[in-house]
Amino acid sequence: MDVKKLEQLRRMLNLKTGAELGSRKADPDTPPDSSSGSGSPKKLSQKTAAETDKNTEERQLLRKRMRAILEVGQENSVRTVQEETVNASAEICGELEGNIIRNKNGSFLLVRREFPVEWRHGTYPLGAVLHCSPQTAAWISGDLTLSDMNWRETLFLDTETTGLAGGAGTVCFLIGIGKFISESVFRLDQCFMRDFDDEGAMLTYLDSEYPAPSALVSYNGKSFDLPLLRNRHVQHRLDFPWKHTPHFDLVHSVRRIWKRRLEDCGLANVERLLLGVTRTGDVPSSLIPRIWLDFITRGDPRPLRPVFYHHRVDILSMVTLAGCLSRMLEDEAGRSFEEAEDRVSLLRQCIKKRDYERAVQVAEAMLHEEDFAEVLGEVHELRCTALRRLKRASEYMDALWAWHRACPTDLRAAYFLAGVMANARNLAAARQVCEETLEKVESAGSFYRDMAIQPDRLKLEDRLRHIRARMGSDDSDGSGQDLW
Amino acid sequence: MNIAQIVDRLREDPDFRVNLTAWKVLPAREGSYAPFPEWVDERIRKVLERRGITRLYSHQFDAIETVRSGKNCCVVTPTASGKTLCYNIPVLQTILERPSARALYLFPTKALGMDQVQELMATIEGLNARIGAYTFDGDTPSTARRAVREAGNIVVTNPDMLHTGILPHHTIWLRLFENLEYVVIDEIHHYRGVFGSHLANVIRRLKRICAFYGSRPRFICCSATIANPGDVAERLIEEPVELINTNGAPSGEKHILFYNPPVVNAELGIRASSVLKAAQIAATFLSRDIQSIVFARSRLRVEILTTYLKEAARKMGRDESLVRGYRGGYLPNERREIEQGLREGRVMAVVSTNALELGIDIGSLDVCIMAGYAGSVASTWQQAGRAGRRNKTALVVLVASSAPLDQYIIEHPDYFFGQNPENAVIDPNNLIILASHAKCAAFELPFHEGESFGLDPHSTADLLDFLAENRILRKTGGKWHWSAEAYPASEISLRTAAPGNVVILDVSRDGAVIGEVDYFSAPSEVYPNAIYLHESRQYQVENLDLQNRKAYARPVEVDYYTDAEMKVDLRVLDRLREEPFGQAARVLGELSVTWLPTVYKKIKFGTHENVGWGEIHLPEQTMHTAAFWFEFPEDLDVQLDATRDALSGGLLGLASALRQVSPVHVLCDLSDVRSHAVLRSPESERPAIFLYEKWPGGAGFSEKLFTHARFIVEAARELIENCPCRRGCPSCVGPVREVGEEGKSIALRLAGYLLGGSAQSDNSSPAET
Repeated sequence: MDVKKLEQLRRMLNLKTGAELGSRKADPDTPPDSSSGSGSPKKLSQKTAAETDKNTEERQLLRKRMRAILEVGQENSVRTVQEETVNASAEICGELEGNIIRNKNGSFLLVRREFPVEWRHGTYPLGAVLHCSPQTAAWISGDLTLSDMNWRETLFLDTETTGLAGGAGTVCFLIGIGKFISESVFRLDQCFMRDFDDEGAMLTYLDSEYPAPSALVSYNGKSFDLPLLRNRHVQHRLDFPWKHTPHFDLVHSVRRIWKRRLEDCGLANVERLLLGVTRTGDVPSSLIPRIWLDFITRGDPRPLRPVFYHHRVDILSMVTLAGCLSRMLEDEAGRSFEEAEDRVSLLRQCIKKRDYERAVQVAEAMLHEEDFAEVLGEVHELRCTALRRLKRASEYMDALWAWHRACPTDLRAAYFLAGVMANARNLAAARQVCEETLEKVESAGSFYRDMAIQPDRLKLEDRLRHIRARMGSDDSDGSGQDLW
Repeated sequence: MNIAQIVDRLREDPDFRVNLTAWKVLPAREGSYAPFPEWVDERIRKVLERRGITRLYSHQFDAIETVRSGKNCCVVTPTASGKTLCYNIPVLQTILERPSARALYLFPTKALGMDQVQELMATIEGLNARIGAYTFDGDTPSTARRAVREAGNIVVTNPDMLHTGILPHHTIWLRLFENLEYVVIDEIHHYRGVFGSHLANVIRRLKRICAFYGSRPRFICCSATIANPGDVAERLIEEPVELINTNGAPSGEKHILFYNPPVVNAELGIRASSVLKAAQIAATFLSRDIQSIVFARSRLRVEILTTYLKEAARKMGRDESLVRGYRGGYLPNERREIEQGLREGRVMAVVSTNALELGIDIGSLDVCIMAGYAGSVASTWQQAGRAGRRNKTALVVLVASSAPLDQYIIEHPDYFFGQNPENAVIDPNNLIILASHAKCAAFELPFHEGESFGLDPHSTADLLDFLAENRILRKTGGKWHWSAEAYPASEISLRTAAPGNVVILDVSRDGAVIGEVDYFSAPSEVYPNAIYLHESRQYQVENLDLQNRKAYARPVEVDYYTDAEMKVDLRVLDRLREEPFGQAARVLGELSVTWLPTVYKKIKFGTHENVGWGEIHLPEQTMHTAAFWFEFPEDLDVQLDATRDALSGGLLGLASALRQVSPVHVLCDLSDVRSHAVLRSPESERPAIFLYEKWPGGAGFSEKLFTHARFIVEAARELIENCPCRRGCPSCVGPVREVGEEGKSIALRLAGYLLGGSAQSDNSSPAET
């Protein structure tokens, strides 16, 4: 696309700018080497009145030729550039059901909607989140500043922008703020720029209306929306009020729990699969920048309707997602998660956050239930890890045995079990575990010769060699003992 | 044997001396010193004293006092004259006084930037103050970037990174821009032509952002010796600049020798290989334990020379590791190790491309040998500056190749040793370049009505309106806003004015990239079936996909190379300036150049016989560019008493010679300018010789060529006259098969015609001639 623009510019290149033409043609007496190029600003400012007239003439020529070239370059889209007045306000207000808000920095369009807390967005009511403990949010996001958050003073934030690349020239033309304004009402403000010059008024409004929230909730806002909003404030030389506000970015928590099952952790996919939300009359995110850029030039607000719908659904989904996630996490043992893989993810999170007690709880709850065949080894292993870190030796030993019995061909189970036995100088039993397991794996055929298990197999064989060597060296007392 | 003895020995060697065209002795020079100014912090003085610096050279003193007084300055100094102190002292002083102060250092390459930071760190360590100095470039890990932004008092970067990585994200660089006090631009002579024109616009954007945050940095520029350093600095930063060009550093006696390898084939004008001669000379120094540096013009030649010298070392029974190559493409660690080896004397000979010409610290060596002219007087002095310790004699040997420019220089030592005549040119207002950066600037901050960007406010408004018509910008509320989805800086390369390079892919290695050529050269270099040479390997091009900027090639081994024939059409778009030039006329203007590759020839190595040909089917290309040309009277053939055919050859020959010597007065690469000759110009219907610029819109070279036309014609005449060939060779007018039997003599007469005519017109009114 840009190459095309360059091509057009190249076509312009049979002309120089007005100033240059002026300096060259208007005064042929200029000594040839007075400037090694042309028209530096310093020299321009010294021009006489006559030269300025000449310049005006040349500039008109330049303008004419630019137009001529542009008409060749672009078939239909020729239009004259004029200051366009702010798009017909009444029409937008009607189409989008909003109001114009004015303040000292100008005006913008505000579309405000209120929803009762019982409003069901997909499977869950919006108000569900109000009953959730902020501790779960703090726990899953690993951010302790969230422990004190108050859902009633929390802002649910999302923006629509002119591009994904970021940088100083990307604008948030639609900023949505959702908030529970009472125990029974959720209010959603969609602040919209009808053109670039609405931005100052919009930012000023947000800063005065929502100066000190308890927390922010977003979907990928930490790396996208917040830095952009900060940029926009810097561009207007305004202080950014949410610089230090605790921020619960749902995308990271969602990835932690559902990454194993959901290839695409985009909000649209997550809400469809987890929240039971179906969108009608939506528009793909990738088209949104273009729709706004078209709107500001054409002034037709109708294509914006789906953009507002898209943006609204995004925020409502964030509210129910925050509620759903918190509720599911509230059960310590993870019984709220139906899918085995999600529970394993939770188990892994417990280990990662060094919450080993909870890990044992989650693992044991799963082992007491059935139907987890596909993750059985993994759950056993994670339980063993947690118990080892908790230094509960006898429970650890039992858990290793349980793992080994449940998965007799699991090389890792045998490896750890034999290791613990050998440390307890129970060498014969350790050897037996190694030998039997290797034999079973061997006899199970080609499946067990799978490349993926080779490292574990080598490790176990290594351990077996080691045990045999030790048995050889202290034969005197080693062979007598037997665990069986 | 020491270097003075070697010099004596050479002086008495008639076989060596017969090939010398110059032996210039630059006498030793005393340094000129000044004490540290009172205001310099005790801590800075202490650190420098520990490094043995107890006083300043006069130029360092002048520079730091100028900067201290709040002015911009441009320091012109030769290699190894302590220029870094010229900016480090004022910058560090300011940061010690105001810890919030920030400085931005710009170097043309990443390697130079790294070198700077290492030196700065060493100094800062001794200051006992919290001063952050970091490089910020493509290699900076993303985890470190925040620290650079928050704590980097001195940020060292390159123009490309400033353009794509810093300016478009200025809001997160708030602290830098709010507190920016100094911008250091080193090696400004590198910023010429397209690169310089881009940089000037990047500086415009930088200043615009600084103004937004309320800072107004001072600029400290450093340059090698060129004809117009102050002019270049002023055009880059568009502010008055104080020029400091009296060098106060001492130097030992320096012998500069011009060596022209003997002619081995007079008919074809072929001389002995400059690479081989340079290698032989270098080997004699190696055998006498004298540390030397050899400069070669290409990576390939560096490899050849390195191999030759290692071989020579082995034959002498010495360790091969005494000889090292050094060029772009070596890993940073490898480079550091070589640099250290040179300083410590573990490396006795280093063979380098111009990578070592820039200010990397390798200490000083005894001897510098140049295998071929470096392309400009400025570069040659930079390279020569690598030889010479303070109190010792140094030797510099320039070995000329058969290239016309080399031959001109080697035969005109006075030109070289006189006042540096090379003008660096930049044209920040090239419309494509200006418009590209206007886009970037609008992305960074909206333009206000009445603001000017390179042009006066009215013309700026015209340009912005033009971009708005293209829907790239939108004008509303008295401002032009960026209104496209793209990120403009990523689409604009500072090193070219062409829309994206064509990369050459090796299909036998899963499309590994083996090289690139610029878009405009692609049809003449990588057309299907062309033989493309890379690192001495041959590849045959299978397909050229201009649309996607890709050429697919496969390694082959053949005994020929290919040469495309181009059909070039020129159309004069505009005559901006024209003057009589004797009975001819010189014109500065703009052209539309259309070129179409038609056929290619297969030419056998060694014998140069034509062993086959093929057709090229590619679309024609068009470019609008700046040009300078001569127009002759219609009856030129009658006036010179030559046939049309012979005249055609002569015009072609002179055009080629003019192009070859154009870098003599204008600091440009040979590839920046192309030549074309016609018996009948489509516009004026007269014989004409065109010199046009390679990049769309031109970078200002044509204007300089127009101004210096007389010198360039004189240079071309002398080149042709002094060439030992009989009827034309590649060292002057081109081979006989191209210019014809009479080509050389007619080219010479044409040059005389231009010069003689011009002399007459100086005495009488041109209008009456």
